[in-house]
Parts: sequence; structure tokens; C-alpha cells
Amino acid sequence: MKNAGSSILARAVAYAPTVLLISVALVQIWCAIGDGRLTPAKGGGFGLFSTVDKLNNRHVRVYVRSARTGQETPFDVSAAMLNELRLPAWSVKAFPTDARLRSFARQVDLRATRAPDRAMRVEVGKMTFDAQANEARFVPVADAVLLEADE
Amino acid sequence: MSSAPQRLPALWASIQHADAIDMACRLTLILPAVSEWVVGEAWLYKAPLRVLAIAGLVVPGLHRSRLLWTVLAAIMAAKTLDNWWLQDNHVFLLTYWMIALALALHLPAPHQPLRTCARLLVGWAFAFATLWKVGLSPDFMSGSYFHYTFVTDARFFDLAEILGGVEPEVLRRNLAAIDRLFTGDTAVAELGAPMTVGLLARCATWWTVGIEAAIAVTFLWPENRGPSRLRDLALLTFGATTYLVASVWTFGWTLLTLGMCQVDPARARVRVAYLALLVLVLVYDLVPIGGIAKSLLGG
Repeated sequence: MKNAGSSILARAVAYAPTVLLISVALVQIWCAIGDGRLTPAKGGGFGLFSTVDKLNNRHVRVYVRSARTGQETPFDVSAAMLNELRLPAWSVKAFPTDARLRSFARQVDLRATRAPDRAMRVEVGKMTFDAQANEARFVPVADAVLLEADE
Repeated sequence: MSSAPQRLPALWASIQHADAIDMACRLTLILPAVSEWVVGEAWLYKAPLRVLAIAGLVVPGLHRSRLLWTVLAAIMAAKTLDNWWLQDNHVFLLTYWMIALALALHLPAPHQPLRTCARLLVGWAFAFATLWKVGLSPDFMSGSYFHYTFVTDARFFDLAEILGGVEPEVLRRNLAAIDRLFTGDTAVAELGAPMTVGLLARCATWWTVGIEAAIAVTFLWPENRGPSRLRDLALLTFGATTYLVASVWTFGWTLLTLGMCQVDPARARVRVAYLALLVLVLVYDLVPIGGIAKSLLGG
């Protein structure tokens, strides 16, 4: 019995970590390609150094939108607020799910003074690069709007 | 007092006869003991990982403790799962390896299962890295990724200047253009680069795909058959070239530790080569080799 137990454990040592690696990598690919929101550089799929879409090449921008006119103006996040929200900002940039976008908008909103007739929109963009034209630009990955009713 | 040449055979013998599990445990403990990248910023994980790793390195015999590795693996797994979408690939790889070590130390004969585990982890990690580059990434095979990296990523500027002939002033202007893109002052950043950067990017693209695919194939091929015989050469070549440019010593350390652990114990020279490369990867990280090369070339 003891030998059988050792044999099972020996197989677990040899193969279980690899099964874990493959499973996590497939989930990461699904989140980065299927859903298109997770940066390929993070999350255990081994996509680092494969695309310009890495965490440092993503931005998170906040806009204030007038409920009456629909007009948007960029919300200037102060350096202090940016420092305070560093981890949530990384988190929302790496994998901007709806819940994470709204949570980030709520955290900015709590620290800012927003007129009651205005909504807040958070947008995450990723870098793209055209080597032929030597041009880099951001394209949107995801966004979410925080309305008063959401609070 | 013995002289250095007299000590070398003793060092050689000690490496030749060193137990693979002892080496694996000690080399792995160095990562949480010294690397900020591995332990992260949260004290909940950082403090116990660092304390346990240092204790494992300094307390005699503790590096092989089942309890130590079970606790280390559990903390590392919890840290990796927490904010998994922010974790680097080598943190995942190190977590899988710590789980393997924690399980292996419960075995009466852990060497062969651990060798198999190390080989498969390296093989599959590179299989997925190759899949991303060849099939999933929209901008790798076209050369765009390396082109952009050479002219905007400061870690690659020495290479861009030496081999790509890019003027430092052009690189400074590129960084300023990217800054304007981030602040929203402009919608498009036009980057400067001579034609040679395109050629350099294509060479880097094909070299990277070639060496990474070679590691995947040789490590996943059945042992002692066909291409599997070239696996150590492939991984050592990758380590010696990649970390010269991309200074991510923690990833290099993890990969080379796994590489060393999958070596047949009879092949002492290969094991020494892995150990020498582990030291070299640290040297790459500490010594500004690119700057020295530029000075020598009169740049």
C-alpha cells in the first residue's frame, strides 16, 4: 500500500505542476484572446515579449460626461490621487473587466467632487504599433460609465 | 593555505557529487530571499516568504524540510492567485516549481519525478511562449514588436545604438513622443528609426522564435532520443543570449534552476555549465555590459 501511495505521489510530482501550467495558460489565452481584455504579458500564459500590448503600454483615462449634453471632458487625476490609486490602476489596466472598471470609477469618484448631473466614464486603451508607418497609437480595450444610480 | 588552482578540483568534485535536490532547494530559495519581484509588495506575503527563504538558506538542513516547502508553496500559491491577472509569468512558473518541491520531499526517491517535472515545465512554458509569438500575437511575426521595443524601451537602447545604428537623440525624441501619446496631447506618435532597425527587428524576431521553439521541442521530446539530446544546448544558448539584453534575472534564474534539475546526474559538466550561467545571468544584471560595449566601440 505504501508503495502504491508513493507511486501516485511520484506521478503527481512529475505531472501535476505541468497540468496546472497548461490549464492556467489556456484560461489566460481565453481571457486575452477570446475576451480580448487581459494583457498577454500577465496571467501565466507566457505571452510576455510577444506584443506591444503590455501593462506599461496601456493607459487608463477618466472622463466626466454631462448628463444633459453628453459632452465629455477629460478628468485630470491629480498626482496624489494617482499615487493612492496605483494598485487599482494597474489592476484595471491589466484586466479591465466591467466590475473592475466600475470599481475604479467609484474610487476616483469618491476622491473627486462631481456635479450631480454628470457621469464618469473610465476607459482603458492599449498601444498598437505600425512598423511600416512608424506610428504608435492607442486603441480602446474596454470602458464603463458610472452613473448616479450605480452608486 | 590552498591556492586557487588547487581549490578548483575540490569545487568541481563538490559540484559533481552534490545532491540534485539539495541544489534545487537552495537555488530556488535564493529567489524569495533576495528578489523584490518574486515576493511582491504586499507584506502579508512578502514577510513570510522572505523570512522562511532566508531561514531555509542559513539554518543547516532546513532547506530540505517538508514543512518549510509546504508552507512556502502555499504562501506563493496564495500570492499568485491573489491578483493573478497582475502576476508575471515567471512567478507562475516558480509557484508550480515550489509545489513540485513541496510534494517531492514527501517521496523516498524524489529525484526522477522532479527531473521529469522540471523538463515538462520548461518545455510547456516555451511551447506557450512560441504559440503566443507565432499564432496569437498580432504584431510579433511582422517584426513590429521588436521594432517598437528597440526604439522605445530603454533596456534595449544599447542594442539599438550598437547594432541598429540609432542615434541617442532619436531615441530621446521617441520617448518624448510616447509621453505625449500617454498624456493625450497627441493621438499618434511618429517614431524615428533608421532602416537598419527594421532589419535588426526581423533578425531578433526569427532568432527568438527559433530558439524558443527549439527549447519547446527538445524538452518535450522523449528523453535520450532525437532532438532531446540538444535540449541543454538550446536552453544554455537561450540563457546566455537573452539575458544579456533582457535583464530579467529572476526569470533566467528560475529557468536555469529548472534546466539544471532535469540534467542526468551523470552529466556533471552540463550541471556546471548551468551553474556558471546562473552566475553569468547575475553578472549581466549587475554590470552595464551594453554601456561598456558602446565605450569600447567608441560610441
